[in-house]
Amino acid sequence: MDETGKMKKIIVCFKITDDFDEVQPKEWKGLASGVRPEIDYVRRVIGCFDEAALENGLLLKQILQENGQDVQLVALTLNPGYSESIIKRVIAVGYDRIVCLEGKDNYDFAPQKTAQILSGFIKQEECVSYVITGKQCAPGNSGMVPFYLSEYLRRPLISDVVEFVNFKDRICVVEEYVDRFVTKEMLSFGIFSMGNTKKSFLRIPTLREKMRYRTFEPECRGVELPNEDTGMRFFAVHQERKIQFIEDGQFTEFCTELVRQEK
Amino acid sequence: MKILQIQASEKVNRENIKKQDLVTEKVMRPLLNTIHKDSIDVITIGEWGQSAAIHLSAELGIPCLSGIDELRLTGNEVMVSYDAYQANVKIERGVTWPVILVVKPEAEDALLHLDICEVEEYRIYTEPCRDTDVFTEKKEEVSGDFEQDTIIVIGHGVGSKANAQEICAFAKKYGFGLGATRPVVTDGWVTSRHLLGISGSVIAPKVCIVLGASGSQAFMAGIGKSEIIFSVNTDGDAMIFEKSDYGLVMDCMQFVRGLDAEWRESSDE
Repeated sequence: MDETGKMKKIIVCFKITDDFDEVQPKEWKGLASGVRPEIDYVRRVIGCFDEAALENGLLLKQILQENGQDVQLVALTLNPGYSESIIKRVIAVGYDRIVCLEGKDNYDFAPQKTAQILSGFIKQEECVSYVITGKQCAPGNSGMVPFYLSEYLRRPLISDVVEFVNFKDRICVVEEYVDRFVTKEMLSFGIFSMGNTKKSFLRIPTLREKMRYRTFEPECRGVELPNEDTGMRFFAVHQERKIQFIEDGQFTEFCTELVRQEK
Repeated sequence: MKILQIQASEKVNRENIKKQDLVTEKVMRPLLNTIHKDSIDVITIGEWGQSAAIHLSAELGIPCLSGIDELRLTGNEVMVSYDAYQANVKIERGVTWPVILVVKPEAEDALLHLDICEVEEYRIYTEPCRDTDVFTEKKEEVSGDFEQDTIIVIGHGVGSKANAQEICAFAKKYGFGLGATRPVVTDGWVTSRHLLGISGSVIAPKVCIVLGASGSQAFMAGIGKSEIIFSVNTDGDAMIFEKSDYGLVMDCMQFVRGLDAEWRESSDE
C-alpha cells in the first residue's frame, strides 16, 4: 500500500446486477409455484450507488492529477455475468484497468464473503491509496460490504460520501450527516462508500472512445478466498426458508422452499 | 436462549453520530468483555449501530444479518424476515445461533415485549471520535419534512426542476411535508433529505399525494405505510395505481395548479 506519495492507485468496487424494477410483478408471484422468476429479458445495470462510485472515482483521479499525482484507476467487480457493453463503457470513460473476479458461487446474499474476496484482491495489489464503493446494491441491499471491507482491510471507512473536493490544496471528502455536510481531509488509505452524491451518473463515452476499446477484454481472475483464517463462519440455513410476498399490503404465504447451504 | 439487546444512549441520538464512530476501542472493549463473559446466543442492535455489529461479527467470528424488520421467537427458533430484490420479495428464515442481527426500529421495539427469553440491555456510551474536520456546512433548514399529516411526493414524471420547485413552493404554502423519488434527487431537483424509499426515509403519514412517480417497489417501501395514498400520473397503466387508494390520470402540474387555484378561491370567499 502506498503511503509515500508515489503513484496512487484507486480501486473502485462495483456490482452489475439485473434491473429489478423491470421485472413484471407477475414474475415475482411465479415463485408461488417454486419457479425462479424469468428475468433473462431484463437489462443488466450497474447499481445506482456503484455507478456514482465509478463516476466519482474518475473525478478523484482528475483532482489528484491536477495536483501532480500519478494515478492508476482500477474498476473491480465480482461475477459480472453477461455485461460486455457495461465493461467496455467503464474502460472507455477513462478507467485504466478492469478486473472481473469470477466465482462459481452466488454471493448476492453473502456480504461477508463478497468483502473477503474483494479484500483478498486489494491486498495483493501494490500502491493502493483509496478504495471506493457504493453504499449498497441489489438484490441484498444490506449495505454491509463497505463495513466488512473496512474490517478485513483494517482501514477506516467514511460512509455517505457526497463528493471529493480540492480544498486549499488538500484533497478532501465531503461526508453527509442527517443535518450537515462535513468536509474532511482524506487519509492516506481510506475506504469511501458513496451515498447520495452530487454526480450520480457515469459519464457517456464518445464514439471515438468506444471504438478505441471495441476489442477490449477485461482481466478475469478466479475467486481466491484468502488463506488466512478470518474466523468467519458463513451463514448456514438448515431450516425451511419461506419466500413471502407483499400483496395489497398483506403478507401472503404462497410457498415454502427448502434451501441448503454449505458452510 | 440469551439475547443481548444493545441500545444507544441519548447522547448517540442527540449528537447524530455516524455509524462507524461507534467502533472505538472505548466502546467496543467493554462490550466484547461482556459478550465473552456470558454466553450470548443472539445479539441485536439497531440500524444506527450497523458498523458496530459488523465489527463485533468480525471480532467474534459469528455471522451478521442486516435489515431485519420482523423478529419472532418460537420455542428455540429465531425467525427473521427482511426485504430483498429491492423490496419486491420478503424473505423469512430461521437462523442458527450465535448470530448478530441488525434490526429496524419496528423489530427493535418488539423484543422488549417478549417474555420467553432473557433480554439484557447494554447501553453504548460514546463520543464523536473525529477531531480532524476541515469545516462543517449545515444543510438547508427545511422544517418538518415528514412530520405533517399530508406529504406530497415528487416523482420524475413532473418533468423538470422548475416544476419540482413549483411543487415545493405549493407544499410549503399549505404546510404539507415534501418527499421525492430517487431519480428526482439524483437529478438535483430537490435535496437528498427528501428521498423516500429503501435507501431513503420510510414515512407513515395520514395522506400521501404522489405526483408523477411510476411506483417501483423500492420507492413504495418508503410510503407503503401511509393511511391513504393518492396518486396522480399521466400514464393510466402506471404501477403506482395498483398500490394507491385513489388515483387520477392527469398532468401533475395541472392538478397542482388547479388545486392551488381552487383553495385560493375558497379562502378569498
